[in-house]
Amino acid sequence: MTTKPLNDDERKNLWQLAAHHLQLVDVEPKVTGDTVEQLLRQLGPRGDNQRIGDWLKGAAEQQAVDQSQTAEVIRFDPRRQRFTQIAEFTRLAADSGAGEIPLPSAPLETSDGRFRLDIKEVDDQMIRVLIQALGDASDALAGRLIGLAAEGNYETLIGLVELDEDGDGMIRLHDDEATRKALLRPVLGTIDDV
Amino acid sequence: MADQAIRGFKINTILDRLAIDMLGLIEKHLAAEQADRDRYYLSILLTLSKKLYISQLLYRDFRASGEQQWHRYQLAGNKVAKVHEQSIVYLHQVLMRRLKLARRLKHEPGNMHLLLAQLARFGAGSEEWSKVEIRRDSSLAADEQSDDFNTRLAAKLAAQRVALGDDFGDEARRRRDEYGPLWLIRPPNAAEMPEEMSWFDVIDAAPAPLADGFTADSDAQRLVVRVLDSLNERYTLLRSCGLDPERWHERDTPSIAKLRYLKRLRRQAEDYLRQSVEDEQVRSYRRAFDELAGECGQIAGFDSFDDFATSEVGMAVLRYPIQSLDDAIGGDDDEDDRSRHDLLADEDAEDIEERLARQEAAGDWVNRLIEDRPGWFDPTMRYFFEQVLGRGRPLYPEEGDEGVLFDQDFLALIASDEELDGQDDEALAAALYRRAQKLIKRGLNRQASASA
Repeated sequence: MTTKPLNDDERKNLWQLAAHHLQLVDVEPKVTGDTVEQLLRQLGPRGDNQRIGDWLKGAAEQQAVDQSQTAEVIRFDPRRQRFTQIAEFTRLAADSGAGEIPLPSAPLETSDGRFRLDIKEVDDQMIRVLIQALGDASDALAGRLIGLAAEGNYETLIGLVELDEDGDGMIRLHDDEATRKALLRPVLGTIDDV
Repeated sequence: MADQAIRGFKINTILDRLAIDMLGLIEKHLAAEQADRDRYYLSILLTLSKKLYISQLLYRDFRASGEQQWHRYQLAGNKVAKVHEQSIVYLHQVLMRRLKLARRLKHEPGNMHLLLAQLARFGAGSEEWSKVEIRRDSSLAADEQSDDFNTRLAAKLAAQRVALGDDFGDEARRRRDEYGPLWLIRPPNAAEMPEEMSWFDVIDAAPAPLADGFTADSDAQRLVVRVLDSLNERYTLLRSCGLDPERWHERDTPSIAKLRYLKRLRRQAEDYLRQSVEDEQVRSYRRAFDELAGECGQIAGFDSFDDFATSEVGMAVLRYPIQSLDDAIGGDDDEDDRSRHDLLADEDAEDIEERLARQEAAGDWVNRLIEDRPGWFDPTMRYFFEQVLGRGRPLYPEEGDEGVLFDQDFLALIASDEELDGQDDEALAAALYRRAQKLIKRGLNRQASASA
């Protein structure tokens, strides 16, 4: 028996149906009892009236402190690599004061809410810059090499970091006037081989 | 796999999928020698933290960083357990909520009560459990109880009633006055039930251990879906409107009815952006508001767009990125916007019903699709489409199905597929998903080009 050929509407409906059903496919295996037992051991007993969220967050934060990240030095070669701007940050009136150029007092966020820069002074004349890709940008840029540059100067980058699976990365910079000036109008870009 | 019905219902929405997982978790929890609530919580949280639920069920906070969204725990063997922040919100706001009695019910029990009765029918150790019934009755008294009935069920219900006290809705109060309290009866025993129960109240009160087979019971399956559907209603609407459930779920406003209007508004605004009628989010909302308000005079209690845009709820809705909420399949850099929007996950129940009706009308829809583009489907994709998308079979083993990844016929196909052979199960599942996704995008892109 020959089936009647599909018309455009029918075809579109069927592809949409396929898309709908694909979205309901679970590509991960079921959670095992062993994982639950191990996690329970990590968390320790929950207090009598302790909220589940507090119980989980407390243990995760402690582990994060224990495994605090260190930055890896990665070099940028403008002859072999290309910097493509993906975000710029504007600091209002930050460069108008006299004396030492201040660091931003709060994290900077792009106007589209896709990126955040948290710049802080840390020990030993160092500045720590935490780069965070937010929301869907974190999925898109997880594992990508990202460069931090001063606006307009994309050949000599301030720093480079590979974002982790959450789309986060940290760079440690020497705290000097050049760095502070460069951080007045910071720009982020992806780094690709030419 | 024989052509028998796998379950009491088909997997048509994310709540169907969740119901299957929740039944599996109930089985593990209630079959354990000593049911432990914290283990059960963790199993639920880890399950909800899977990619499937993050993309299809949980609220997505696009402004939160990965660090804020995930709690990670290093386990033995370099394994990492991950719990998503929104899974915790879902557990607290949705699953722990006591379900109110629906207004349309008169003497009938609510879905939570019915679910408990159905689980109780699978109580092990005595055939009497299979005779459990449930009803409102003003003449019953709990004066005769066997130890088994009391310790495994009645005492737990009594403790729950004490904890609930008078803190239940007017509807339940009215029905109770009119028709009497709700009773769970296993002749000659009877136990009064709390007027309102949460998911965890039901699970705690179920007479553990339960006998095998309840996860495959179609009545239990349907009840779990109905319960999840009721629990989820407000949460799903908030998610559709881009309102953070952590802030908005426990509030009385906006009402369910107003949220439905706001969802309609968002969809209309999204349509305008998709069709390039407007190129900016706020302008798109303004146009959508004016058009919909033209039909009904106002939207969700707001007489003008400016009233809406300056309200707390309006600011929250407008702040949420409009195009990304439902974009579950998109993501390729070179993806055409038009087809990207054609792939939006549809959370509207009416639309899903409409779509499923079309599916029924299309009969064997997968084979029609394959016959339409035979050259597009390699043998692996043909099998994947037929079994996974067409028949709704799982990739991994679950109740009543050994999982497509373990079908001998499918394994033979994989062995002859250079790209897929040799991968572990998770990598293989992800690769199959990507290949199917690419194929579907191709189909939708082709359709979009044809109709342009």
